[in-house]
Amino acid sequence: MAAPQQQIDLTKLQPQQLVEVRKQIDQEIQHFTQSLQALQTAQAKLRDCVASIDNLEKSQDGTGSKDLLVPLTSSLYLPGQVVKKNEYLVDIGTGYFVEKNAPDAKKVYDVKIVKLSEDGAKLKDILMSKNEMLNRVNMVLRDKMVEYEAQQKN
Amino acid sequence: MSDIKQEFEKLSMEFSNQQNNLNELITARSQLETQYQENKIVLAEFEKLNDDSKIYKLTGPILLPQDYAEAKMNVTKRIEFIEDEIKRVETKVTDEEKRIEKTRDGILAVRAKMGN
Repeated sequence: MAAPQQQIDLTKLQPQQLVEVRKQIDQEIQHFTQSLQALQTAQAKLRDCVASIDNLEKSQDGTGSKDLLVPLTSSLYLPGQVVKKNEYLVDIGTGYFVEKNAPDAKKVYDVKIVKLSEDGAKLKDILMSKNEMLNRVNMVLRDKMVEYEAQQKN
Repeated sequence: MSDIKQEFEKLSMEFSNQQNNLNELITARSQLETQYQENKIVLAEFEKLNDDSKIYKLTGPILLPQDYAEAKMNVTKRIEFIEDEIKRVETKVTDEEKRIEKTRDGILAVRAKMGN
């Protein structure tokens, strides 16, 4: 996206322009950091789904408890027991739910987790290069300031 | 002199209006992109299913059972619709960008006149 901008020779820019460039990079870094955080939250949620399935599966083979609390509202719960197992309604997006067994349901989430990890890695790469750019701009800006001060003294 | 000033003000107003328009269009574009990606994921999921799969659609607070073929067709249609919509917004974006470019040229011309 911002690739053509990198071709500009920073040392030829005016200090004011450099400050603008820095501001822009700052904004971009903020934006990408927020995206990365959103990705990580989404991933944590998906992991919770997989963990929930694992827990229910455990209750099936007798190694875990069958009891659970059914939320009626956010503050009212009913104690309940799992009767039907190996049938999960998975939200696949845009309001569609599909009935799946445990391994298939987990597969849906695992695929998404892997995808998010890949995107996260890409984002981290972008963030790193943006940070590098920011450092470069800051360095050039500092050099310019030193130069300017030296000129003032003469 | 006041004529030029008035024109400058008018152009500046136009310029910021156009920039707001462009920002709105870009927001719309990214929203469409999100929907597009989500629908593509859903379609990819449908590809793995078959007629025996039990599919439900969340309508308001309830889940309604849905036919596999019908659900798949709906999503496919929606993707087509979103693709068209994306194209529409993109042409609007380029139009607006051209208009901004024109206004900017106008502003520069007026500013040059004011300098004299």
